[in-house]
Amino acid sequence: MDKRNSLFFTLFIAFLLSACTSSTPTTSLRTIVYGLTLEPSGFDPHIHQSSELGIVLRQVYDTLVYRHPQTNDIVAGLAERWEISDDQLNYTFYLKRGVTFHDGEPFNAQAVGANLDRITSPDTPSQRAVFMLGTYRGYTIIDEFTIQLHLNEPFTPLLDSLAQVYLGIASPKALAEYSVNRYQFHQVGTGPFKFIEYTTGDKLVIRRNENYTWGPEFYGAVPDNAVQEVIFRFFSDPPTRLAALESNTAHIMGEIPPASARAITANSNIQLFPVAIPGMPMQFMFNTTKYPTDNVVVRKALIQATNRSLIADVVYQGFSPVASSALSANTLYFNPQLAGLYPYDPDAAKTMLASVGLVDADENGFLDAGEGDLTVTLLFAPWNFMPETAQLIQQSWRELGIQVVLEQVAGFTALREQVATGEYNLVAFDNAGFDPQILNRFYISTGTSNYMLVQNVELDAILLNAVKERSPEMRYAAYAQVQQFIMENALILPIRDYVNVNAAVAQIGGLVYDSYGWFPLLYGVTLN
Amino acid sequence: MNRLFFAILTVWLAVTVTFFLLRLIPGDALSAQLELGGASSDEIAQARAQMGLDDPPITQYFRYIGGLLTGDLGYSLLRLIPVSDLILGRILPTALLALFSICLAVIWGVGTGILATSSGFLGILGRGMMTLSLAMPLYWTGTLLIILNAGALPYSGVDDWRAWLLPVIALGFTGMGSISRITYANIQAVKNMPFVMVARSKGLHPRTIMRRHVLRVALLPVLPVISTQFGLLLGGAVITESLFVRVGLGKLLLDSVIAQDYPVVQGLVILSAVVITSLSLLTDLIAHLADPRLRWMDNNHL
Repeated sequence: MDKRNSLFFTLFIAFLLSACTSSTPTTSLRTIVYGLTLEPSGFDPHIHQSSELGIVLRQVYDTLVYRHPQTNDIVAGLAERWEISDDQLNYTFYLKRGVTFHDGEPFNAQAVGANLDRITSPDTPSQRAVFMLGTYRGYTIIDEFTIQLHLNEPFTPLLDSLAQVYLGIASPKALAEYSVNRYQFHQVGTGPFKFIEYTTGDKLVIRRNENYTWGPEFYGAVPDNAVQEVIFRFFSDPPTRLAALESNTAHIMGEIPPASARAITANSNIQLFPVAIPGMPMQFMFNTTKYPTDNVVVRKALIQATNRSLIADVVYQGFSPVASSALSANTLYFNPQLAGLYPYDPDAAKTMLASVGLVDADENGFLDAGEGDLTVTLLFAPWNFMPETAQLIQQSWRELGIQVVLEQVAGFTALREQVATGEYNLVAFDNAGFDPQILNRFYISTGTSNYMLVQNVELDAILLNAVKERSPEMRYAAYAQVQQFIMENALILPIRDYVNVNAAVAQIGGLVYDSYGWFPLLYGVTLN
Repeated sequence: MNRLFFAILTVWLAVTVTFFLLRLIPGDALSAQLELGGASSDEIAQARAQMGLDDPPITQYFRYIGGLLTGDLGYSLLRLIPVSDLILGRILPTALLALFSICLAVIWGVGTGILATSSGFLGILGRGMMTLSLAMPLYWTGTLLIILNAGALPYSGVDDWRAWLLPVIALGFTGMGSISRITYANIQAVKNMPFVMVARSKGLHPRTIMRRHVLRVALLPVLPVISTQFGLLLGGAVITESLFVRVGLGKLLLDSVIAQDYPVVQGLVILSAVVITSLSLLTDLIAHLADPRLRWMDNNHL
């Protein structure tokens, strides 16, 4: 039996070898492997919603406008200029000429229209792009290179949306040729890299578009030794990410665990690129309807009882700053005046708890709540080192006599269901985005993600108006007020601004990330 | 014939039980994706209704079985593409991984089992290896291999043949433990049987006794163990594929379970039920061919 098995084994090895040699590429391109941290649910920018898809597709598509990676201003992309009508209901885009898609089709106003049609079609199960268009109503093609977008109501974040890859412009021919579900395997854009192949579960390959001359101004000229081909693979196991870089299995990788990153700072062979992601910080949201966190004094006491700089040091190894507000520090209209509102002070926390009658009368080590002990439930999923963070919180609150129940769920689907039951005091969540309109779905009374269960007509009004407001000064005033309201009512326990610790091998040069933080601009990346 | 009927019954039971169990757990991948993308509650409800997720479970069940009979496994709620596409593209990498690993596990396991019966240092080595394999969980063996490898071998993907070595070694090592244990135990038992004593007193070379007489008898019970091990290796693919950045059914299962993507989990359950039942049918068949005692029992209707 031994012999027969080894015969089979040899046969299969031989079969495998033959299969491999035939698939080995013959050209020698300057190729790198970019490690994604998970395989997203799909790669169609108009359909799927993940950040990971943008890491890849930012290279494949151009958008009508871009955000300048240094100044964060909206700058020309496929549209060389644009006009907004006084009532803010009509956006006219004057498109660049001489742009061609990777399949040779010309780029023009009809192409933009075809993309808008696809995104808003009821047959396209769009999970993000269609919502990013806000109050969009339709478009008019003025001439071959002029298109006007019409809105039902003013929607100031429209340009911010149009700068993101989810509203990237795809070749109308390719969109027509493939079904809604199959297009993600045959994508055609106008960007600096062409989409070559996507094998689900295995890899996604893009190759440089040698004809690309219409990029945003900040791209500059293609450097020497520029990378010609990028293979994206999915490194979902955090502890092995660093080993993959050290073994040249990958050249660039995101989400290096902070402890691993700290260990290699001395290693000259690996470079670190910690990138702050704008949006909502990593935070716990208080359930404001469940005892005891329905009491604002208790919520404030809990924030003051949390040693957040310790968490930032121990769990995140100092790579991310302690968060102070409902927005991260590099987000548009961040309110810097709220830092220091809740310094770490367990004694003050104890006094505050006592002031609302929470004391340990039976001297069993726990504060009394009715018949039993004061108990607080923390709900979280195992991402962003939440389990470690929650344990530190559990310890420090235990010292105040609060019993902390840690409830860990497997992922967002389960988290969402647990939230729906209302059985939590705090739930961990964060969200990325540059424009603070991302706050709306969390803080508006009827918002889909109103995990705080906050009901405040005034807050609703400010948030809804801020989306329509055109003047940056007025918007800043509105969002500053929103952040102040959130913090003064202690709706959240901000932990840290989200920082993605990327790393690359020493041979990589020119790696830049865009204003949204998640997305690299691989146009100027070199391999020496 | 009787056995075939029971095999089909097993598969049907697996389908039905998982179908209803999965629907007992609240939540679905579709709503979660939509919320992350910024949809309103109304829009989420509309999408759910469109996918038929609000129909009573029993309606959904008969629709599913109906589709199944025509070979339609439905659509992934998370990825929005047909489940059959997702599974078909991943069968080969996982099947080959499991096959290579089981081959390695058998050779390694039987070898270690034989080694373990010898006296002195070799015996200690064999028994040590056996214990290690039984004691070390797969994720630990795999992580250790990646760290010890330190870049000598590439390991991600399935295109490069060298990338197969580490995962096959990790899985093979994990699988060989129980095979070597049963080999070891059987050899120890058979070694003291009268017919071996006879062979020894005839003055045969110990190696000949081992090969011709002991192993022949001792290795027969290893066969069913190999078939159960194969099932376990398919499960082990879940860890191996995540760890070594490979495409495969295991990784698909893990992602789908976490995201609560029922149709995909369901499809994978059906596939494994079919594979495992056919495997046990097959091992029974082989065992009957290889073991004269079982054949004799069949012929005499015992």
